[in-house]
Amino acid sequence: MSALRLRLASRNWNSLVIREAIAGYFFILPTLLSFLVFFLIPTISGFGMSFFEWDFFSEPEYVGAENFVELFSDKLFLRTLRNTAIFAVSATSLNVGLGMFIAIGINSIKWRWLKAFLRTSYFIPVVISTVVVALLFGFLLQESTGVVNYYFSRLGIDRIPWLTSSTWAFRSIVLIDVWKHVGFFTLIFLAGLQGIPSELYEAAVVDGAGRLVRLTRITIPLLTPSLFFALIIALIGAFQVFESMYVLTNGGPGDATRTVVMLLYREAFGSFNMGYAASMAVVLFVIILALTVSQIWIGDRWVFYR
Amino acid sequence: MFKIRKAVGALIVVLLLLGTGAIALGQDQVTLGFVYGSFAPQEKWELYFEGFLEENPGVTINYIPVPLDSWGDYTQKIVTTMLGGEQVDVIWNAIEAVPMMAERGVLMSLDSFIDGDPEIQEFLDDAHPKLLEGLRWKDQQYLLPFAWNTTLIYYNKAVLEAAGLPEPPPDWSWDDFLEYAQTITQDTDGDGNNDVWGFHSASWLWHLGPWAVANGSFFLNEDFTEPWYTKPETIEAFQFVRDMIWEHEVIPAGSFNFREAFVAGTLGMMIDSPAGRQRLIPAGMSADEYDVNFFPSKSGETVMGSQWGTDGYGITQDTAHPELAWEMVKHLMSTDVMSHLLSGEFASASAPARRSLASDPVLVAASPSNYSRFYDVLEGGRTVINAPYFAELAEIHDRYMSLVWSNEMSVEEAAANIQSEMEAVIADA
Repeated sequence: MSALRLRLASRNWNSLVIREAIAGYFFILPTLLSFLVFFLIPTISGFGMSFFEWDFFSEPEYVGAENFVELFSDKLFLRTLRNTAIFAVSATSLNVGLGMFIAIGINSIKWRWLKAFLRTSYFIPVVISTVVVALLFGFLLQESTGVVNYYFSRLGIDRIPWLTSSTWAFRSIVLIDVWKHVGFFTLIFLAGLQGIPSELYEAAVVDGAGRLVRLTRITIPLLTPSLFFALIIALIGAFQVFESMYVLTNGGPGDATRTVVMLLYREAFGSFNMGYAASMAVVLFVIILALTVSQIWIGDRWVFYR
Repeated sequence: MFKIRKAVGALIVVLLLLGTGAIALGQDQVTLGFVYGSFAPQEKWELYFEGFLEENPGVTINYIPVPLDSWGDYTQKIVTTMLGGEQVDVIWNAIEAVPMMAERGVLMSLDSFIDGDPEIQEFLDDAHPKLLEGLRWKDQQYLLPFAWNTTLIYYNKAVLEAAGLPEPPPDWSWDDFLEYAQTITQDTDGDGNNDVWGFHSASWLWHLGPWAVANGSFFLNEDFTEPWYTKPETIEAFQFVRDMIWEHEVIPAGSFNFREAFVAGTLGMMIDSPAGRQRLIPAGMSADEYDVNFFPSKSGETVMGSQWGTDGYGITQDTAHPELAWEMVKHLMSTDVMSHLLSGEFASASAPARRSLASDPVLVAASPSNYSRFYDVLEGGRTVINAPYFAELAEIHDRYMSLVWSNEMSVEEAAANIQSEMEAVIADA
């Protein structure tokens, strides 16, 4: 009798588990489908396409690793890879560094209204479209008629070719990127700061720790999980930069501000070299994956989880 | 219960009847996909197609807007739209796109329609032959011309007068031109920065082409198979323009809103097309406040040439209704439709392909007194680069000439680089 009861209970339990599992799969189905359709299938197709020569119009032709061989002897690709790396390093360090600095500054403000005002002000650029930001800065930074150079000239400073010289165009785009994204990282660090218990600071004050010691011994170590997350997100985003450079300089002057994604776009939809463009995407994917994995690996050594 | 069943049964019968009726009606209905540049509103083309839709009540048009930043970019977007499965029957595009779209089998040759339809002869006789010729590729007509453009030097009469300069003669030399630009350029408030500029020229193909033509050269040879960047005449022409930025400082360096400056009276001369007039009107500039002149030449001979381009309409290979698509294209070529270029809400001021409209009183009244010079240079001018590899060539030009314009590369070095890269592109094609 008890064996039968057990069997029945087990059957009920099984059917409940199955029902719950089915319900669960239904819940994740939209995400799963979009993951499959918009990520997994295109990614696998992209990998496959990188071994073919295909111009949309004729039948794809299998060329083995030829696209990759050509890629690493293509001076323009190597130049764009260099530009992308420099942009990623500079934009990531500035975005994350400044974001952390601003967040600590805002967090230390006593007036709540000022805190809320600054938090909102820094975040507003994040919600503005990158293309709008690029167009806006395009007007502001015009060499001859731009507002910035107008005020510079009033101060006796020579006009700066913000977007028309190779050196300045790159710097300008990094600065615009920081203006646009620093608010996002500020918000991440502000959230991280809220998770630090105030008792730790109180105890430190009792022990006679000054501001600098509290910052270096409590705040920064306990912010490392946020810092870790910010670094990964910033680096991935920076390696995929496209819109601001496309709108502001279209890669110029020369190739000074041309990035891998811009070249990829041109090859795919300008020259219809789909296979070659796919091989660029694969290389970029591998670079980003390697950097992310190595960050996670190194992260175990410096990220402090309470 | 029985009543409910009866009601449900009746409802099903009604739905089936409605469904089959709709299918039967739908069989007479044809939808034609039409691609246009989204810089202009759909209403513009709806106006163009009014008469066509009245004559063909069974036709509906699916308007497909495509962003137009440059012709190369626009063409690429059309191709990807079609590859994405969108049904496109009729295309609005430009001369630059014809070779690429013809070579890739996107456009259908219009020759069989032209040969079999005597009604089109009237248009062919009226359209400028250079425009028709420009839209041919390998002896086949792929687009019919609608509106065309070329460039001349625009000058603001008030700015010239303020500088004490008379209106320039048609036979002006580079020295004369430079003297005009130098006289106009002024730092009026003495802060060390120029407030009025003599001239503006960007490094774009559209701006630089006429300078090369005026010096007996161009970017490439007639059939676009051999770059001419390293020809001494080409280098000399580009050097002259470059020096106006960095040596004579009469052209502002960097990006510059030249049309706004021209209207505001802070720019004396600029390069623009007939369509440029339409952009000056909303800014409140009337045709008697400015005029146009030929490009100057080194020797001072009148330059009866420039660089020109034209747009047009064509039919895709994918169309399931070629006859209807042809009727649609033919309708666009009518005098009634083309007259919309001259006046009304959607006037573009690009020059109409029909020569009979060139002397239309509306066009004449809205134009500066030297307007006929646009037609003068069409005869001796060069078409914009129209080769299957147009987008690649344009990109190479922009890449190096932008460095010349930012004073980071000499004209000779840029020309040598462009020459070799273009040769490689042409060899690969």
